Amino acid sequence: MSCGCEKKLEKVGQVTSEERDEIQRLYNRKMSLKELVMVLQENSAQNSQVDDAMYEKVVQDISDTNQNFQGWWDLMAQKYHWKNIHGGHWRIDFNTCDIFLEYPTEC
Amino acid sequence: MLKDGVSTMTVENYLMGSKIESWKETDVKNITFVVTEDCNLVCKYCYITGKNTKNKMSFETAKKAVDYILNNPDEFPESSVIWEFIGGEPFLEVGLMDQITDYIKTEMYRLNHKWFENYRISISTNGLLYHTPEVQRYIKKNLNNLSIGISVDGNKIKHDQQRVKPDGSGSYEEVVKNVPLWLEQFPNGATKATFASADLPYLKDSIISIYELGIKTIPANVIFEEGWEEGDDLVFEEQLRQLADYIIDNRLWDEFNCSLFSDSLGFPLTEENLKANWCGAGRMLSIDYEGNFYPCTRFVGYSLNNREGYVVGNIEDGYDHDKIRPFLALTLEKQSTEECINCQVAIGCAWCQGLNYDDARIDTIYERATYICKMHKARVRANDYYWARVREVAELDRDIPRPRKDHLYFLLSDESVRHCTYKPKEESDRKMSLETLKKGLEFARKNFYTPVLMLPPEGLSEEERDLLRGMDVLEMQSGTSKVTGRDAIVVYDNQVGDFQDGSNCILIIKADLIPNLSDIVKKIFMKQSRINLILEETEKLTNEELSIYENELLKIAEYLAEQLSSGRYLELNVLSDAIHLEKMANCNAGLDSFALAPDGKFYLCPAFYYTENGDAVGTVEEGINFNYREFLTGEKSSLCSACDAYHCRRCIYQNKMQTKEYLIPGKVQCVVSHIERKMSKEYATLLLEKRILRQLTPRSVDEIFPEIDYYDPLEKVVNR
Repeated sequence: MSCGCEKKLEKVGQVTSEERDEIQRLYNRKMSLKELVMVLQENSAQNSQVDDAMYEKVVQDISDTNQNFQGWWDLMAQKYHWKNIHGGHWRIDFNTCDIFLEYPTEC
Repeated sequence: MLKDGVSTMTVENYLMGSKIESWKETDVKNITFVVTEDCNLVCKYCYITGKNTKNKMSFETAKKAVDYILNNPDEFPESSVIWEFIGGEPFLEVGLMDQITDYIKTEMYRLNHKWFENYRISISTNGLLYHTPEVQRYIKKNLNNLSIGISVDGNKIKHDQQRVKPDGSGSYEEVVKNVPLWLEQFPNGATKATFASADLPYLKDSIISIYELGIKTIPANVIFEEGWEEGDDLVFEEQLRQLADYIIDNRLWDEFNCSLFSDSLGFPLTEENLKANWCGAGRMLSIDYEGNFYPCTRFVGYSLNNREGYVVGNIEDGYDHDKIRPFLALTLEKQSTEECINCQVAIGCAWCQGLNYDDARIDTIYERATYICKMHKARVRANDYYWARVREVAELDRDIPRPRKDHLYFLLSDESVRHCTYKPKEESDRKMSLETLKKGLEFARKNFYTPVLMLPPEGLSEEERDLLRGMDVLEMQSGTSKVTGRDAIVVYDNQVGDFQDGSNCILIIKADLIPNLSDIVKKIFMKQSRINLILEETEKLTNEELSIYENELLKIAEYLAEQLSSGRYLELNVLSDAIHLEKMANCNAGLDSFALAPDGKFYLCPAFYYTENGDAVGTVEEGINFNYREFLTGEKSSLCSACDAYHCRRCIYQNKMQTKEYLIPGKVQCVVSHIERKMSKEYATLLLEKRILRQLTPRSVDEIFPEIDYYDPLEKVVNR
């Protein structure tokens, strides 16, 4: 549950456009898989043309994509040594390639 | 000469008038399913005149279309896709849309298609069904890749005037009650507002009303179709000016946007523009209920009044590539009239390819409907006002500074600064009246001339300054003047010191100062980055003076090359311009510029006013009446059309004085220009030796300056 305190956004770095393209691709894939699994679950609930093999494949794909997604952040953090603080997390602006640290201000 | 009259004011951030961003500007395929031709509204301005309740797409048809598209990646090489659903009102068929969307997603994944990671679903709706459980379920299921636009057309009066239900009642209240939910789900939601003749009096209030609903982005346009009434352009302009005042007075420019104002609007077309076609018809794909393919939805039969639907394939046989060829080959130039191509404010004037086809005299897409011409010009005038005012209030400049070609020089008095070789009237202190200035500014505004105020020594009075409010003007002032004009271009009239900071100036030099030219120029370059050099009384220059001039230019060329090699780019028109030019630059007096004199008359340039018995070419009351433009163009000059000293000003005043013809220069004017050409080549060669020519041009020295063996093109013409 949120404590209700405000969050602060601080620019802490930038990645290359090629690096941005990769994380954007992984992000889009995550979102598309998330929505696809909803379609498959809905079909399953309605018992219409359930494709178990595809469902299994998508679930595995979600897991792999999440891993790759986290791997990108780990690799970039190692490469660029961005500032980090407890309770904070990084965000990327796809338009500018800027990396921001988002963290809660003191309550 | 004023090509560099671009403001140097700091560019700050603004949203109003900037390009409205859309997902993927390039390399994206738009694929539209016309899921129904039915609608729960009967909007009066709707271009879809063939709406009906019977033509609905079946899932089987949509499925075949998706199969064809996804299984033929060579036909659809774009890296991303927008799957669009349109009607009528698409949410009348939300169940079908849901089926199609599920199928698209599943098939993109099953086929490991590149678009699975790069797609959007886009829906344009009237918003009436937005809150229904079926629609909400669809939205929540697809939210991450979904974009929905709801049409709120303005305030209640305007919206209900056009967007009515079948019983004739307005739809405003029902739509607006769904806006908060829509903005919660799509915080950056934009609404498209369309204006026809009857709506114009409500334009300002409509845009404000939409902002007050919390919608911050409004792509808006006037209809392209016939039906504009006499005087509509005046109402449109006045409404936009009032809207501009509201935006500026409430400082809304960094939070709201409306495409009726634009930082790129109202400039002449470039060669690149002429060869392009901003409309995507033919690159998009629309599919109707029968599975026929169209170049865009506007070409589907239900959208056309005078012609059958323009079919370019179908789900069984795929694309008919020959039918697409006319669209791919279509350019702005090939479908526009000469008037449109040469229009000084053409940028931003749009058209609808489907309407062009529907309205053409014969069965073609190569004829452009121009019903909006007056409306576009009214918009440009109001847009000029918006940017001039926002500049006055917030010192904000357009990100895209592209000066207009046409200029009107205002000689505010007989003591105004001169900017060229003419001699002001001696012992005359006639001043331009406020009334003449006011009428002249109005003439410039209406006809898209940029006013250039030639300041007298005392500068502008308060009354004169008041007349300039809401207008973008250039000012020229003497280098000895203590008055500072607004972004003034400074003229150093045989001045040898006490230069001012700035970016662009004019240096007028007579013969006795030529031996000091390089010293003067270097001093000015301590303060300025561009000098436009004007040599006075060239016809009187002796061979010795010409030789000294050549030598001084060489010294300056060496200096400019040194400066560039250390990272400072400086320009002297007679040395640096030719490197960039591929055709005659010319002064273009009487073509792109005129002068308004204190006597309230127009002249080809200030020189003709100051000449005894100089002919006027119109009055400020009646406008410019000069029908002999062809006698001023370089193309008609047998000398200038054979010449490649492209930087030459080709002064029609000097020509007229020396040869009695506007078109034919005197010998020394040609010789001076060719000395400058020769030294420009030396300058380019120095840059090549220092390996920095590529910073300025991809062309080689010999490509820019082919070898010639004359100083006077008459030798070339006579010996031809």
